Amino acid sequence: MIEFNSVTKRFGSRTAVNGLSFVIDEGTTTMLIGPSGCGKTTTLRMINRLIDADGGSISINGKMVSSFNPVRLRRSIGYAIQETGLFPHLDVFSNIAAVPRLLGWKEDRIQERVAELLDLVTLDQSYARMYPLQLSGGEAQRVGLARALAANPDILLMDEPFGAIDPINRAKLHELFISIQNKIRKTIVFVTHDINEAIKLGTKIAVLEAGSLVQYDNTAHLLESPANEFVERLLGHDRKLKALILKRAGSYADGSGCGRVASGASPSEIARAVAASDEGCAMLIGPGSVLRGVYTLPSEGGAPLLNSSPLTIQESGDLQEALSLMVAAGESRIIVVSGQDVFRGILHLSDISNEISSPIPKNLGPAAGSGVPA
Amino acid sequence: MTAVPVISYHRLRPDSPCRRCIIDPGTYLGYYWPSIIDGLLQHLLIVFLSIPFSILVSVPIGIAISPHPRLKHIVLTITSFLMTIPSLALFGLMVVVLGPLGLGIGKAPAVIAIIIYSLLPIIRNTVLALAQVPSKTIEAARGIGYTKAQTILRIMLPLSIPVIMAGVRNSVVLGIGVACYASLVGSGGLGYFIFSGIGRANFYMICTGAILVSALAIGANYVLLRLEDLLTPRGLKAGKKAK
Repeated sequence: MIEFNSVTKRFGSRTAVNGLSFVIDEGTTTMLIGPSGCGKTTTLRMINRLIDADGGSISINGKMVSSFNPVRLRRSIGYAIQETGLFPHLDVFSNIAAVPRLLGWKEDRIQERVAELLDLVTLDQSYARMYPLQLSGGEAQRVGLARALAANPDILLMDEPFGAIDPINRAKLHELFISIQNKIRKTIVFVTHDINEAIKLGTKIAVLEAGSLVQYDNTAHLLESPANEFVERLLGHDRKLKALILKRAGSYADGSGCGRVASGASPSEIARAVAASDEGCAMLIGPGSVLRGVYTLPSEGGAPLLNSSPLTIQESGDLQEALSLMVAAGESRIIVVSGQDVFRGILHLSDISNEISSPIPKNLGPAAGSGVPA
Repeated sequence: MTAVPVISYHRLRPDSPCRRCIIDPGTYLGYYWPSIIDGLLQHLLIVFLSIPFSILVSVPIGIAISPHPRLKHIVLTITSFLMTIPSLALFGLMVVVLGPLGLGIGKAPAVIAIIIYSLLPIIRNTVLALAQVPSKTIEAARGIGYTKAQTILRIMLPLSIPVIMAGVRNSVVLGIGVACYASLVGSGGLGYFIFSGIGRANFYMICTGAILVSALAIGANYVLLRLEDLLTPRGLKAGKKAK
């Protein structure tokens, strides 16, 4: 648990952080977001004392950070930044091993740990002997993440780590980040200026403006009730669409309305299954409940036709992704699968539009939901 | 160290075989080759006594001043000024300044003059090299718990080697040229052939000095380039390779 208590920081005449008080819960991902110069990076750096606060106090698990030796404090906290800050003269192994070596770990323990971390960030072991200049942006950022996690810190500070990465690779890193955080459950403080990233990764979002905390809330609640116009503008007029990121396709999948046929079924069996279903379709299910295709009635009439590569989404996928897939394909439904194409059910466009149009509590005024949480 | 013999003046008297050397390069070389080798070795000795000292002084100065813009400005101004002193005058000054210490004549004034001359390129390149280490790399090092000293020694210096070495190369080449004046303060070296050659309008002597000094500079530059390549961390040379 990291606690900020009326923390203030000035640079010359400019106040970077002004009376900041909030609590970051253990095991959560807290996103600090706001425009450039809002003090989010300063806030982050005060946690590991790269910057010392002028006023107020910061404590980690009840212990003031000012009472720690700064170097020892930093070695106990993971740190990952934009463009990775990898050391170009050291290979991937030595980059990841940096903190364990500073801490004086035995070399065989370090080797074991580096191998474990390469696995965690889904890089092949052969990367250990490569140099940062030989890596792509996404690979380098994975190494940066591995380095930050090397000494198994409880707290991880990340300063726009995925900021300089192209959208496709950033999406992959987001997936990786989520799956790693689900495994390790660290207390992560994450600075970003990308609201979509904040919504996708954050358990909680802290919105900062000109050094002050504007709103600090659960991601879902923030989207539902922005504290003021500033937060509303930050979230964008499509915040209801953005809220779809938080909803999993799996929870809307419904398999009751469609027929099922096993592979090797006769044409008449297929026609009967299609006709009997509410959805007007029948799933071709192979061994192990694996979806092989979908039979539907062609619009011009006749026998059901097999579409062997129907539109699908993983049950862990979010509704926004489902929506964009459906829009792109011009379909009004999508098949939800789990694992290796195991059939779960069908998600309808109408499910999503119900989500969007469901009433959101009206703006509750600037005080609502902001400040220190209960 | 055994005393390095200096060519004695009597060999060059008009009745010496030198009359023939002026006419015939073969005879000239035949007679002078031991002195030429001597001169070459002394020249090298002067330069390679100076440069390691200069590196030992300049690199720490460069590190010390690089975080302080004002101090950096002052030191770089002073060293630039030292470099604008005509080299001949600097050697003369050394004789006068070191004279009371009994070091006015011999290797000492030459070595010290070359150290002074080579300060600027190495200090300047050290400062430049440290400044071009990406701020993100330094921030990362501090952020994961390197101390200030560890950040400089383990991260910034290794990344600075190519640029610092370029400064060292500059200094060595410069030093080899300036060391020609060493013969005027009794330190020997290849300058002897140039100045004595001028004195007697001896074409071969002047050529001997000039060609050998140039060859020495080119050779030293090449050797140091190779050394620079050896010292540069592998990761800095690794380009984007297909995997």
